[in-house]
Amino acid sequence: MTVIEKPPQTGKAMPQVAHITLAFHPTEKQLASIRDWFTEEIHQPVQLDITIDTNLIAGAIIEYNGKHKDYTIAKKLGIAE
Amino acid sequence: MQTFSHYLNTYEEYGEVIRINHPVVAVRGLPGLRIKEIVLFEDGQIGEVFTLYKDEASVLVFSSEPVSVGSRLVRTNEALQIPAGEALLGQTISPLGRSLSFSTPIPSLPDLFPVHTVPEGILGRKRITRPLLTGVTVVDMLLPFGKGQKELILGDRKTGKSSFVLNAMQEQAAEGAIIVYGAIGKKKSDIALVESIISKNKMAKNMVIVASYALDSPGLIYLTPFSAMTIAEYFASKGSDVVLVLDDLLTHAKYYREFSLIAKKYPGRDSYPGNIFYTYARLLERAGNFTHKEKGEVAITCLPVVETLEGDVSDYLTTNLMSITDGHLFFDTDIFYEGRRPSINIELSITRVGKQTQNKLSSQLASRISAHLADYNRVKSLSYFGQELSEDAKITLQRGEQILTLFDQSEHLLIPLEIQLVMIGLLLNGMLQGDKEHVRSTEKILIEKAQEKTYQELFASFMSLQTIDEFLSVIKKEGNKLQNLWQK
Repeated sequence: MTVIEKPPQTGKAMPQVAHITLAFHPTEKQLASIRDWFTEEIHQPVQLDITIDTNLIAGAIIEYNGKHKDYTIAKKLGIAE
Repeated sequence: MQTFSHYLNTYEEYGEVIRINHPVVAVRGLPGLRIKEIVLFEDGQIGEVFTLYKDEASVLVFSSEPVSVGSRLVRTNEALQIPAGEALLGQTISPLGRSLSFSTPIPSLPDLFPVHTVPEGILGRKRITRPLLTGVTVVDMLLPFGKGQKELILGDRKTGKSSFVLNAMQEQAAEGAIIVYGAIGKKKSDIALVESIISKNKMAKNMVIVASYALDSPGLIYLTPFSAMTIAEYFASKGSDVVLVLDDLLTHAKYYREFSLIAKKYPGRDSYPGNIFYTYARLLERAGNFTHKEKGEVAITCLPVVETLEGDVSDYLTTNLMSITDGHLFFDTDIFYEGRRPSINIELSITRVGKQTQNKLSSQLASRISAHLADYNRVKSLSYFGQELSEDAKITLQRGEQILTLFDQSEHLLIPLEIQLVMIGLLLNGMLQGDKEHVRSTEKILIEKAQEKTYQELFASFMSLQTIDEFLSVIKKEGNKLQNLWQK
């Protein structure tokens, strides 16, 4: 049986990044709780990439490892784009 | 096709471009991605998933504009589909279904059809019984095609392959078939030339050209024959017989090899990827003679063209295609330089299902002619030694020359089957003189006369004859009448 090997990677593996879009500026405390939530769910530390978009009204969009989850009021109301 | 955010919200997955080796880009993310799925980039470009690895995938992009590293993409959970409809007739379109001529935009077609489909099974097919005429005597008599046949057109460049194919297209368009011409990675000037010939011969209303240019992305060039086949399948499903010309598959294989190597697929013989045979079998098996609810049967006849190098027919790709198709016509450079047109090498050409579609008289005449030609070739090879020839040998040589003169046919001249038969009847009765001028003028007069009703009936009555002896005696009787024609 032939096994297709992964092509050689160039450079070091990049750190895991979670993209989070929020409707408000989070406080230090809120950031820490988001970070803790990720550590608990994924069992490894992640870097957070926070974007602010007030059009979302409330809630958050979480993007990590190819998955995109939209938990915002804007989406629920159907006014997101 | 929906918007980027629609797909992002529906499938809740995204990916990122991590490497680019145009036309193949490596992407990461998109955990649910499937092979052959269409992905949409942020800037609106589309690509097709080509290979899946454990934690990355390679995507084939169809545009020649580059995508950038880090740009995002979403999956669409769709395989590639193109629009098809009656409005495509007379158009030149890209493999993605967009019009390539600015003067005649295509109205938007609501129905989409998948580009990659599974070929119909044995139950949906029928035995090939209807002849496909090309208007070229040597082919219609000795190497006949059937409707639904796959016949490879082989030959070096500039040996008259395209003129033959255009002849066949013209004859079939006149019969009412739909012609789909797949121009794969061609020069713009070549496609313009084909377009001009088509409009000159008033075939446009029966034609669709699916074209990709040499400057297009290899991804798009790769799609061309598959798209052309999809368009052909559309018209077949509507009840028309279709003739599909793929010009040419060697170019296609070269582009496929190029980006397969770029995508790090393991190279096989001649560096082609391991699935090269499968690629063409999957494509060409979509042609054939199929059952149809209203019409009883419809045929997609496929004429793939392959350009050989220095007459090498034992090339890897060529032999692969020979075993997928139902025979091949070989256009020989030597014959071309001898001045014979079309330059088909009769001994090296094969047709596997066409003979079963010939009527009784044609097949008897064909076997008689083949026997004469075989004699001629044997005597000719002996006559090189310069020895005294017997009377018999001289007659064989003369008859062989006459047959070859009869098969010599100028470009763009279509000879109807009845006239082909009458000419051969005259030849076998010894009523044709050997010289070219006489043969050509006889042909010309007969083609003109065939428009008149009395001759139409006369020629039609020949077609119903069952045996060759009957035919030859009728020709002898009628021959004097015919001879009067060209003496005038």
